[in-house]
Amino acid sequence: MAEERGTHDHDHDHDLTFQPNIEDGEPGRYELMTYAIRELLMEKGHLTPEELRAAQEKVESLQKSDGAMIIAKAWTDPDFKQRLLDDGNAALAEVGVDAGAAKMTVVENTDDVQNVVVCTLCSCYPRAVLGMPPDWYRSKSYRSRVVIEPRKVLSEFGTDVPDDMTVRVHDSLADLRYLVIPRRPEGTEGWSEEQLAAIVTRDTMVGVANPTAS
Amino acid sequence: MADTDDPRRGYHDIGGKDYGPIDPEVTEMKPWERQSTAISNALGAAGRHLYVTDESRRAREQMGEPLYNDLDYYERSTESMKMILVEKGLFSDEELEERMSKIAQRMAEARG
Repeated sequence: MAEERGTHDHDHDHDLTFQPNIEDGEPGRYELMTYAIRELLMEKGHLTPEELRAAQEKVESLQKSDGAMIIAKAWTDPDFKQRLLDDGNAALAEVGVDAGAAKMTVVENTDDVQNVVVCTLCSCYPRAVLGMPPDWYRSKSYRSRVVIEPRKVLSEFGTDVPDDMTVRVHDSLADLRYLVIPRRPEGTEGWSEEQLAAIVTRDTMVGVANPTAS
Repeated sequence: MADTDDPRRGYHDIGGKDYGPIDPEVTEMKPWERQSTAISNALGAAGRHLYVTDESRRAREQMGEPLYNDLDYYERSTESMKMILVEKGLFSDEELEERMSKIAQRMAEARG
């Protein structure tokens, strides 16, 4: 991504500073549409370069997920975990994460329950905590199947759930998002929050995988 | 169990159907995909509300099945944003197409 620093002259809106990898061949229709929308919005005063830069920075920073630190804190601070379960948005705000307008419901994996998150209607996802959803989460295969054969889908991710364990699938909406607190694995007693955060992956917070102490 | 072939179900409503094996590969967002997302977020930011989540969802449900199935995730988001912004009169389809041609030309020239 080309970076724009310092003052940005509006007369330069037509330059190609945002256009990376021009060697990669011809741009697709939606790539062109994106650049055209950007230019038209800026020319008409609906979007400033500053607003766009700030939004770009935020999209990029979202890729470095806050989720793992939040889970590590929940594992080491039972009161915080309870507040997360009671009111996800409020508890996330405590640690400086703006979960947005949608309700954030936090669910906890236990010895008896494995929670899994999907959005069958589109690809709603707790972006404020986990960044942008991975390809498989957006795929029709995952969206369609995880609600009818979750155990089979989980096994395709390498996660085998014992028959005596309940699998709970949560279907998200534009107004309702879910975050899974995975089970803290055995062998992590006495670990620091940083050590714990290192074993919490995106997939464990969507519920298709479980963290291990290795 | 719900009838997954119920004709009253929207084409986006695919829970319970079977679209086959899941491809676990995760790809990086392309720069234009990040930019499209950033534009849409900036327009939806608090205080702006020029383009909000519910509009984006409605546009996806309105674009028609062929287009919905044909486009990938970020193409669909961009198409949805375009539909709503045109609907709101921020620019016209013609204006947009014309600008896209110009940009394509500029990029071709830059490629040499």
